[in-house]
Amino acid sequence: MSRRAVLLFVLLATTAFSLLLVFREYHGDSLFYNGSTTPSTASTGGGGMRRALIVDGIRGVRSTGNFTDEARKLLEGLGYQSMLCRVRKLKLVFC
Amino acid sequence: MQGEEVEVGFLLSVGHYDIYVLRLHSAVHDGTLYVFSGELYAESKYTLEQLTGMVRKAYVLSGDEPPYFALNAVFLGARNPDGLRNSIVILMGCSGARDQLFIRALLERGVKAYIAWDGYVSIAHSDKATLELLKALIRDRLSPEEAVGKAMEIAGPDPVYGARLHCFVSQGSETSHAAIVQGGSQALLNLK
Repeated sequence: MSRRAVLLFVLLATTAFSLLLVFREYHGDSLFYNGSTTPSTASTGGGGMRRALIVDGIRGVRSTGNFTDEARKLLEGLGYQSMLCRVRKLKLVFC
Repeated sequence: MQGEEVEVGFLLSVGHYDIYVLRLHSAVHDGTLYVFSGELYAESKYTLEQLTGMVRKAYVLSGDEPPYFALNAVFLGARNPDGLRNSIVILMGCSGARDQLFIRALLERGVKAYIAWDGYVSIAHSDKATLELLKALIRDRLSPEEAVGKAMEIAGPDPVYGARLHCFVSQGSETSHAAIVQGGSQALLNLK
């Protein structure tokens, strides 16, 4: 094999590897391609029950009356499906 | 779900609930409503999405917080095309009632009612009014428009900014001919 062929092979291999890395990197954080159509808030069953989702995305500002707890209690008390999870010491509330 | 767990991907994936209570910061930029995730902004992340305006770097008004990723609200639940059908969506953040294109898109996706503020609102006031709204909607079984009216009667407009809650509902089965009824004033906006 000639020296030129070896160089060409190395060049092609390096390019292919780089493209692969870029492709993986891009798809790793892309919202267009990453993630299935299955919601991360998938149903917990209980067919026919009404369900409510409380999303509390406000950091640092906690409600004076602890809104999420009060809202969850209200919804649960009125027949809504409720599930309480905890993530990193923060409450993950699905009602 | 709270705080940092509320990532952009999560907001894209929500679906299949009857009521959504979105306690999220929100803001209008160039006429487009963005809802804040709890995900810290990084310039190198979601590059294509940033270029297309799907997500933006966003700051909250309180000042000392780092920037977050905010999602163009029209992509809310976009991974579940029918996921919002027949639901009531309550956005507790600022100015949620100020993007007519988003509201139209939401109603065309089958959302039964969308309830949001027409300007800046403090989170404490939004908490108070939303609890009254939920009581009226669920406990008293009022229609969304009536529930908004009752919540505003009890909680009033935001004491600092004067923002009011509005209710948008789809009228008729033809979404292309949908109209929007604004709770309270009953103003009719033609969406043809």
